[in-house]
Amino acid sequence: MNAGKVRIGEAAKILNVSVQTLRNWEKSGKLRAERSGGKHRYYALRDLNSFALDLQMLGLAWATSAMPPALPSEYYCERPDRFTSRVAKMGIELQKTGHLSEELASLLTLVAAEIGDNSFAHNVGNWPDVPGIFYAYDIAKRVIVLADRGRGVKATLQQVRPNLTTDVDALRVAFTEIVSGRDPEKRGNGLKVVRNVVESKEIGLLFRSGIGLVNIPTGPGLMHIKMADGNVRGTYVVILF
Amino acid sequence: MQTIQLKKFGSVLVSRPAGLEAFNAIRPQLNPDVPIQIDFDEVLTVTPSWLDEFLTQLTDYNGGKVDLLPTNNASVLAALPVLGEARKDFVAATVLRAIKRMKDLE
Repeated sequence: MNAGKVRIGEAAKILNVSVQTLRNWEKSGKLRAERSGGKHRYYALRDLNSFALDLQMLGLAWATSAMPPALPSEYYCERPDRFTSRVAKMGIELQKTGHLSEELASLLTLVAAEIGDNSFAHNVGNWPDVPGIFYAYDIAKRVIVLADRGRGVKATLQQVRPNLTTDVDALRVAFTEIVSGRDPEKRGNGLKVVRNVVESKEIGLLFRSGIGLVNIPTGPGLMHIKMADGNVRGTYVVILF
Repeated sequence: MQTIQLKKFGSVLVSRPAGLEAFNAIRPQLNPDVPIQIDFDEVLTVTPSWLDEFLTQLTDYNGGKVDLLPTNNASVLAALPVLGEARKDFVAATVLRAIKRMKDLE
């Protein structure tokens, strides 16, 4: 077999779908395969990786486009109760994979749940256009994506920190200081816990809001905050493991 | 001593409103004069928001007589240090007692 290519069974495992699904996708043109000697299907790992990026592209489109794009219903949580039930289901699926530790399953669920819940808590009654969040995950691809079209971190924190002027500063406050966008309620600890978890475990985080970007590498490593190339309306988050 | 088994509320406990709802659901069964201990057994994940809200309500209700049973739950162990630092009240006292107790057991 050529380097960088895998047979259909391996490709199915990588994408967490059945072999028959891959055959159907090939027929429909959704994911092309190559043939060797006219018989076996081969998939380029590069193609599989691009395919795996789809969730991230969908989430980014939800968080950045002027008009909200149509989403598959399985990726859209209009209300918090739907998100809560789906994130609980993800936790159980993570537990059942057999190759992830209980600790990692517990912490990935914490990170996704806290971030998704924040989107609802900080935008309730204030969604600029469409309520709810994009939430998708693929355990085989080791990726979780969340995105919202809310007000973003800066606008939320400006309610209690009127002097905050940049998205980068807002993200720094959100991830490092105990502060709540809904002061005087005793809240605002969640992203600090998220940061501690992601920095110390084999979990990566990309968190964008406005033109601010937080990046924590997948291996244990420290948070970096900088300006991004483009603007995100609310938040856009990718969790890797 | 009264024990609250959090698994009664599910294996993944998310959001502040759900933490409040859990407290409201169990309050009729609690005697405010008797200390409470919380058991995390068979729970996969408790988010900081849920835990903060649940502990706030519980400690307000019985004047801080709340303790956390030692646990290996990674989400709880991750949330406790931040809660202990962020709060200066009964919740912080409960959390700091739990952290010390678990350290003593190591």
